[in-house]
This record gives sequence, structure tokens and C-alpha cells, in this order.
Amino acid sequence: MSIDFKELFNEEGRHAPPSTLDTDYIVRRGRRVRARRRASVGASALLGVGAVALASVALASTVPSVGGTSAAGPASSSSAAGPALSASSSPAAEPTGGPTPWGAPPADLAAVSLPDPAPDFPVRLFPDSVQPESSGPGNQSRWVSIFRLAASPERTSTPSPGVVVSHATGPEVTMFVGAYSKPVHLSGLKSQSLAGSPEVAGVVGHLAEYTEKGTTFRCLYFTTGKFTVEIIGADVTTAQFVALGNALTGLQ
Amino acid sequence: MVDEITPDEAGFRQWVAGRSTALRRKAYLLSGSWHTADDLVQETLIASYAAWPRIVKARDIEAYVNRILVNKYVDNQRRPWRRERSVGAVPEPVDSSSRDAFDAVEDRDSPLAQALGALPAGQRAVLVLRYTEDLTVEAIADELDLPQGTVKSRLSRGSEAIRSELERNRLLLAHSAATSTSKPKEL
Repeated sequence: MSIDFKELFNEEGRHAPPSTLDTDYIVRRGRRVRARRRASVGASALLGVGAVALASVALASTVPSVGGTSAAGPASSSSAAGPALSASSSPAAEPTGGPTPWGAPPADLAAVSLPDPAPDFPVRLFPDSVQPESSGPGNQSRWVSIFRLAASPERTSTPSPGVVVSHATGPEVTMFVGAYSKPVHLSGLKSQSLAGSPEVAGVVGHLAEYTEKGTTFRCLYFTTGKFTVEIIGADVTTAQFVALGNALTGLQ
Repeated sequence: MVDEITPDEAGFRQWVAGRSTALRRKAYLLSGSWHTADDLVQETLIASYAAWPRIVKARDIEAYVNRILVNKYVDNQRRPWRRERSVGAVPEPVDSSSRDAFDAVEDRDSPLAQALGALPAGQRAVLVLRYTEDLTVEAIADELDLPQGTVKSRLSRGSEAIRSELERNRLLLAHSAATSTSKPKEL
């Protein structure tokens, strides 16, 4: 028996009862979910900062006893905890004081910029942004500058009403600049192989390659000062990666 | 001309207005019931709204929402007890007109719905995406985060199962038609 499955599925579900979906209700519930998520992220950040503060208090209270000061009883250590906690809570105030749970982005990271147009990649796919990303050592949320670039403008199509899909028409790259020093070690790059060590921005970079779902991606990693830069793209030459890395300003 | 979907609430409402019918149909094909389909779509859209700015940024909204829908469906299939709660009193009166409308449609349980209902959740999800969205094996694998080989085998087994079920139905219908016509008329 020959069956046209597409036709069969097209016919199915044509006689639908009236929809009971209430978009206002969905938006209200969605807002609550969002708020809960933000609160839990903020709470985790606070918990982490609190743990650091407590560790520093513990460290501070053990130092005098090692030095031989006699009055290291619970009362004195708790009184020492007061100022120590408030002193270490000044960095803790930074993440909660800003408009986001992470506070404001570090000024030196915000000062890192890439010329517009960037070499070989004149199109900005999205406005440059500085945002918290889960990456880097320990996969923690850190501030990262992101540049999304393309060699040529994307083509858009509308496969169905209300849907706009973008298609790349040439090489595209994403650049991440993290305000943390992450010495790159290839054992930490899962399933990636070293493809070269080009010099970029005055340091030795690591060019790695990996294949995902049939596409070979190339990544250039380098650490300079307190910044780690990752540039990822497909069909991008080493010279193009290096030119982009060299074009970054504010890294020093 | 379709406007660019924005990452704010207006963009979300615009997308829902344009795509909720198709999403509902997909949910129906997955769940086999319009009641469950509406619940599934509502859960999917709530999760989508919560992640809307990220979804819009990822550009392929349809794929992202499809993935949420299928994951919610598979999740609900795995843990049906999560969907049922005992309550002391009925929270709101039943809208009889709405119930009648649903019942009228549910009564028309088609052979395809029956055949789909007999399939495991994973196979059903792959078939629905393949034949309602016209997605390729690669795209389905990408959306459902499955190896392409798994998608191919689910597609092949699912299609074969539906084919056999429809063939069985056809034979049953033919048999019942034959027996009803051969029966002597009662005077």
C-alpha cells in the first residue's frame, strides 16, 4: 500500500475546536517564570559572594592565632568577623548594586572595542554588547564583550507568516573578549585539535579546529594582559583571524 | 511583508498570533487530544515567553519553540503523574459549549491519530516534525538534539508502523463492509 504521508498529516487536525489559549495569561505566567529565574541567578551570585566573604573571614580569624595572639576565643573571633565581613562586603556590593545581579560591567572591558567596519568582516550582525556569559574557568558567569560579524549581509526569508529566518551568505565570526586571564591549554578544549600557533596582538595564539554536525569550525584563542579573546568561525582563514585579533583596541 | 520579530512582548504576541494555530496542530498530532494539545501549547508558550529575548537572538524561532514543544511532550509522557493533582474542589465551572466542541472533534478519531497514538513518543515527535514542518533528517536531528542515525531509524520504524496500522484498518473496514452487505436482510 502506497501512502503519501505528507498529504495524510496535512489532512489531520484540520477540524480543530476553538482555541482556548489566552495570550494575556501566558504572558503573565511567563513573566513570573522570568522573575523567578532572575531571582535564583541573583541568589546564586550572592551565595557565591557570601561564601567568599565567609572564607576570607575564616582566613582572617586564623591568622592571629597562628601568630600566637592569646585571645582567639569565640567572642573575639566573632567580633573580628564584624568588620571583616563588612570590609569584604564592599566587593559584594558591586554585583548587587547595578541594574543586573552582576552589577555594572568592568570599565576596562567596556573600553575594549573593534573598529567598524572590522577588517574583512564589514557587517555587524548584532550591535556590539557587553553581557554576562557562562564561560571561562569553572563555567562561571562573567562579563564578556561580544562582537558578531559577517563578511556579507545575511539573506532573510519568511517561510511562514510571522517567522523571519536569516541565512549566512558568507563567512561569519563571533568574537568574545572576557575580562579574565585564561591560559589556554588544549586538554581543556574538548574535541579540538591544534591547527597552528599564530602571533596575534603581540602574543602567541592557539588556533584550534573542531567539527560539529558536519561543519568545521576554527577558533583562535589568545590571552593578553587580563583579557582572554576567543574568535570562532567557519571558512575563516588564519590571516583573517589574526587581523581581527590585531584590530581590537583597549586590550592593554 | 512580515515584520521583523522583536525580542519584547509585542514581538512575542505577534509571533503567537501568526503561529499558534500551526503549533496547536503539531501539539495535537503529538498528543492525540485537543485538550492535551492546548495544555501543551500553553506550557510551551510560557517557557518561550520566559526565554523570548534569547530565542529571538538565536534567530530560528520556529526551531527553538518546536524543541520546547517536543521536550514538554516527551517529558509529560515520561512523567504523567506530574500533570495530575488532586484538588479539594473544582476550580472553575466547566464551559459546556467548549466541552461539546471538543467532544465533537475528539469523536472523529482518524486512522492516522489511532496509528500515531500507538507509537512511542520519540517516534511520533520525529514523524510530526518530518511531515508537518517538512524538515530534513539533519534539521530534525538538530532540533531534537539527536544523532542523525537515530532520527532515520525512528522515521523508518514509525512510518512502517503507521503503514501497517492503516493497512490493517483498511482490511478491517473492507471486511466489515463485506460482512454487512452479505448479511441477509431481515424481513
